[in-house]
This record gives sequence, C-alpha cells and structure tokens, in this order.
Amino acid sequence: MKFNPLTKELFTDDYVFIKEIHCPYRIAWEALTPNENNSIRNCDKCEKAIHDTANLSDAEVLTKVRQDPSTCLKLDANQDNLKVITIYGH
Amino acid sequence: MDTKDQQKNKLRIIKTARDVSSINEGAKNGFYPLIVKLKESKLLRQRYGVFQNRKTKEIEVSPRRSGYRQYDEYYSYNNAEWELVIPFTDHYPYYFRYEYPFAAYLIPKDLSIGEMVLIEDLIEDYRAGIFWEKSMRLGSCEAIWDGHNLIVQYDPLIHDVCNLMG
Repeated sequence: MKFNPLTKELFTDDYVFIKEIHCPYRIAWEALTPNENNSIRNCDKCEKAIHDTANLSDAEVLTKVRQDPSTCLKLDANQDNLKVITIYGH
Repeated sequence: MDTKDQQKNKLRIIKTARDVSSINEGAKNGFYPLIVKLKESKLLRQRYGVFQNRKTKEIEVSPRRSGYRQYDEYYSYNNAEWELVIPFTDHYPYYFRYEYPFAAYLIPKDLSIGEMVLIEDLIEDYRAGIFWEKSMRLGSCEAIWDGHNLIVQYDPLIHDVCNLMG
C-alpha cells in the first residue's frame, strides 16, 4: 500500500484509491479492546471494528473497503507493507 | 476511574466553520464564533522540482535530483534522461478551498473556563511530524478554553503521529 500524508489518501501499490484515512476522535490504538485474533480492535466511539492493515494484502484491504466504504483501518507509518509516497506526480 | 484515553473520548467536540455562511449559521444557532486567521506555517512548506522525461514527456516530482526514498531505494534523475522543467523551489501544500483566509471555532455558550475540548478541524498550522521529507499537518487536537481563546494542547516532542486510523 501507499499512503500520502498530505492528503491522507491510501492507495494500493498500483495506485488504486482505497480510502481517505481520517478519524475525528484521535482514538489511540493501544486503548482499544483487541478481539481474539488481535488484528481487529473494537472502537466504542463509533461501535465499529478497526482493522490493522499490517498483515493484510492490498487486495484484502481493498475488498474490505469496497464491501463497506466506512470500514475503519489502522496504519503505522513504519509497517512493512506500507510506503509513504515521497514522489509526487504518480 | 476512566483512563486518560477514555477521558479524551468524552471531551466535547468543537466544530470549525470555514466560510462566512457557516460562521453566521453557527452564530444563529447560539454558538460564539471564535474567528482565527489562517497563517501558513513555514515548517509545512515542501521542496519540489518537476522533472520531465525527455523521451516519454511524462513528469515526476521530487525534492532533489537524487537521493534515497523509504527502504533505502536510491533514485536519480540524470540530465540525459530527465529535464528539470520547474527548478527546485518550495510551496505550501495544504490548500483550503475557501474564499477568505480565516475560519472560526464554534464555541458553545456554556463552555466553562478551563474545560478541555477536542478541536475536530484545527485552523492553526502545527507540524505533527516529518516522514521522508514530507511534513504532516496536525488535523485535530485537544484544547483548553480560557474564556477568550482555545489553547491548543500540542507538544510535538510528546505526541506520536506514527499510528493513523480512520
């Protein structure tokens, strides 16, 4: 995946737009309750599950968001499958 | 007793009105619009130059002619292949598509002096971090109402911006 910190847009590696990452509540991942597989945590604020993208493929993330565009995702700028876009124009 | 994060989630949310009609709508609905001028932070300016491939005519934008990207990936725009069509300069990359350079926080009339709130859409510029030559602008933040202004509670040395959710 690729992430543009200026626009907060998340793309697949092939630049297919996934979604804009935005949470108005500044929820801390560490404060959320993990479920049994630890890659999903439940947010009481919106009563939704937040999916950790660290171990998901681009296709898996894209499928989740296309099935439910309001799907919440968690990114870490340092995770291995995420590249922060450093060159504009793509 | 609530944890710090639980307390944060219970804060009242301060909305931002970014145009004249929204500000006046807020005033009609009983809010005090606290007007704040937009000031671009020099810390958020980004260096760029535009390279055009001499053969394909496609362009790429880069802060320098050569260097390293994430994961030690080396890049180079050699002059034989790439023409620098816009020389290196810097620009402010956050554009707010509104007519005037001001906005307003809509303050509830019953907000108490000393009350901590959460500003949903910050008007002021704060650099939340830098990642591979890109500055990130802080989008929302806690603040304390002092009776006249919202005092933004942001310390770049303390707050972590690596995790993003939404």
